[in-house]
Amino acid sequence: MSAAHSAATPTSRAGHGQGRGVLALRGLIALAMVVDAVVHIHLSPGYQLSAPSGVGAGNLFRLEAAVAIAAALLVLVRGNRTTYAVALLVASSALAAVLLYRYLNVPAIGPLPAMYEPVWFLEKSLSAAAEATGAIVAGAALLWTRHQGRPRTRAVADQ
Amino acid sequence: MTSKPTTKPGLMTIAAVGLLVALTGCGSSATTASSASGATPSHTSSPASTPGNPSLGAASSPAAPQAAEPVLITIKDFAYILPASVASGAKIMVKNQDNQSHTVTSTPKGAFAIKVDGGGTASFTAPAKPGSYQFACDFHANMMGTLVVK
Repeated sequence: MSAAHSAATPTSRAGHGQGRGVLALRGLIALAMVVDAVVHIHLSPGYQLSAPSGVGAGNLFRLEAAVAIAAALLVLVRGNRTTYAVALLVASSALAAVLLYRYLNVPAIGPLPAMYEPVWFLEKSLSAAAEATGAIVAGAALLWTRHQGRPRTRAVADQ
Repeated sequence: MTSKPTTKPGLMTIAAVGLLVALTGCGSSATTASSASGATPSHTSSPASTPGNPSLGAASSPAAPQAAEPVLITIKDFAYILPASVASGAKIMVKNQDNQSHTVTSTPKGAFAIKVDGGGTASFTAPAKPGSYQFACDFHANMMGTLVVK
């Protein structure tokens, strides 16, 4: 995997442009994850008090924020299939959760409190948009690295 | 295209009566659903100047002010459903129909503050001083309302 990666840089001059593009994608993913994390951290104290059962909504928000920050750092430090996949997983799962609890009155399940909240407001919308952006860009980056990897492995196989 | 004079007197009478009925009968002091908008009526006196309350000459209409009736604030879907106004010093019941806890906390703090658990009820006393009191939920900053005390 790492060989396929390092192979993206050497030859072509277009590689520089691609490198910048990839860097921009990584920056965008990281930014989206950070926005998501900041919103969750900011909202967490209130939600911990309003839905304290189980582990508490606020603690789940803090966990989400920590995971999002970790994903952002991973993508910034190293942009590869694994880190893009992690970012995609984190962003899409967070987006799925916010949509689920926005539209479905899910009861408390085990350590998860009931968090049904049938409204959108600025911060919530912002974090959902950030999660969607992070998921889309990470997904695109993941596809792009797969495309990048394929011809090389074939070429190696042909030899 | 001009109107014919034949039936004019009858029509005019009906129209006049209809207009009169429409003008006097529309003093609806319906429920005021105040939520995230944060529209703020200014101080005192004017009759329930909360949004959605028509303010033409309806001041004289018998709007049935809540005298000794229990006043109820309902919280549903992360929004406050409020009466148009409450009497000063009235006991106000707060019914929370959400499954998360909320608060009714005056902003700035001090006039009243109450926490209502999910599915629960609680009560507080309206301020003695008439006026418009803004309030919010401590846990969900998007939830706001204005309590008009008369």
